[in-house]
Amino acid sequence: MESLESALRPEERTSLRLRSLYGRHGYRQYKVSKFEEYDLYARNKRFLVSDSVLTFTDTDGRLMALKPDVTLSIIKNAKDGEPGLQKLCYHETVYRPGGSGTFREIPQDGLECLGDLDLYTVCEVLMLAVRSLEAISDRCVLNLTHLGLLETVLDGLTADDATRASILRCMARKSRHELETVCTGGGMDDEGIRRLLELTELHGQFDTVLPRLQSFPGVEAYVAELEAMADLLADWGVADRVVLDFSLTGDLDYYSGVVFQGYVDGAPARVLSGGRYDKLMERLGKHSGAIGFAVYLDQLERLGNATVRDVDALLLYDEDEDPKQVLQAVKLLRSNGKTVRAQRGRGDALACGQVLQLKNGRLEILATDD
Amino acid sequence: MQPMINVALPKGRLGEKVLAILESAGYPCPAIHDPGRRLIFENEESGVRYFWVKPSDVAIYVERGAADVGVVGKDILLEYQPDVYELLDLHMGKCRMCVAGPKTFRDDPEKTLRVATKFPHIARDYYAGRSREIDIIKLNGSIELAPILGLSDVIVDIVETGATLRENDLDALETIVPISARLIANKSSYQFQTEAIRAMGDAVAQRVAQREEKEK
Repeated sequence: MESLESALRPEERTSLRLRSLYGRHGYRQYKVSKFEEYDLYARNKRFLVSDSVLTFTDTDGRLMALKPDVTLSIIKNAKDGEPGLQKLCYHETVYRPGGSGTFREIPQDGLECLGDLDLYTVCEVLMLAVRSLEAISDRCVLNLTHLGLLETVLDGLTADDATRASILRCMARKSRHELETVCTGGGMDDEGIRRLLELTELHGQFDTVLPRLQSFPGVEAYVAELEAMADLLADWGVADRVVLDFSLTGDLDYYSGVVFQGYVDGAPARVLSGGRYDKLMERLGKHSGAIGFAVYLDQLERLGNATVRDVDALLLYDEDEDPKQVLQAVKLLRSNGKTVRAQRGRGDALACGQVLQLKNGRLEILATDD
Repeated sequence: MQPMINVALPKGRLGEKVLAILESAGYPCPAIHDPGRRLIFENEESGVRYFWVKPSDVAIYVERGAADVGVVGKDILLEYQPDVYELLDLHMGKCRMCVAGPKTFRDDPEKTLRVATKFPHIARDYYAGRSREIDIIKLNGSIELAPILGLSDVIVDIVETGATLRENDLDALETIVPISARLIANKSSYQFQTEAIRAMGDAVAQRVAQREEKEK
């Protein structure tokens, strides 16, 4: 298995590990179509990472889209009102604009848990999010926030919708100076502003951040919920990977409860994003809770060993060389566990461990980087 | 060994001032003052690695993780909206993003307003907030020429002293937003170098406050 894994690219290797991880916890593989009716995305644009969607007109005249997101499709097709939980995982490709503004294919693994969620289920998903990051790198962090707590603090400010939106934008940038400008002069309570500023700057593990939330009025139930999560996540052995950060926000029309993002050292942006989206379920006419996350495999292409060989041994031979001798030489090198490429003439520039020449049945090493 | 903080500095006068603040805040780098053709300067002792980049590129270097932190104008942040933390207002490089036009300009709401600018996003957002229909004319320089030659009705641009506008019979008609330099950080770097980046932010904030106090 190890040798098979070595033939895979980092993102493929991670994908295999994730599917195995989710399968071990009872998540069933789920396959969605490449296409969805555009209307599904038009009605829920703010839930999407980007509001640009690649569309086309189907043969029957319907406006279709190459799916920019998997969660919406899973919710749309989910059975509603059934007892128990639906635990689903997927390996899909989504289509979104990249940094240059042109559309890209983005491979994505993830999971969704739909139904009557309890504390255990939420913590299991958080644990799987951490384990997913660990499958990518030893150096990883899961940022976690609780939108219920954030909303309570915001409600205490009596800010109008436009100001609330500005506050959330400033928080997401950890922009204390702009947050002060937005809040000052808006007739908001000084103590409320102080708490909001403190909340924006909180960034640390459960044991350092939760005590500082004790003085926040009205959030006792959320703090108790986070304490219970910390306890269970510690039992899973993943609490040290979790960093509470309330600058992490989500669209309050879709998300409720916990929202989280994962980072691995070496990747410049988040590689995992998820949260509890009961409000989205409600908007789509479903009556149960839901939580899930996606791992962005495109971010992993450049992680890991930068110097990769095309082949261990490049075997060169002349046109008058006996093909049987070539075959014997290839077999000999392969028996030493090497990857071998046999060809006449050097051709393309290749990164090789060794360059060997076969002459009249004899092997000669021309170059080696060992 | 502590990991180094990679700092993207904007080339030019603003960058020189920012470097002076960083050095006085405990992040000196003697190598950066040696003339030569080197592009990257580091001081292992103070844990920093500096490099000069075009001011408009700083946000890209930071967003993509080539730099952990950087200094960039608020105009660039508003225009390109990079996914970064904006940790500090340095109160330097202060100017305004303005709508400017001929002194005699009167907006005719029956016509689409033609707006020449280097900042199409900022202009679009500003006028969308006022439900004003506009035609954006994206230019890369000499923006002030556009209303003089009739290419546009107004311009949206950075105004520092207003001298160039006045010399060309133009005026700053509305202020969209005040602009100044900001200290930004890559979101992923912040997770793994939290203490180091926060310490740098705090030290720089202290220096900026002292500098402002002196200037009063």
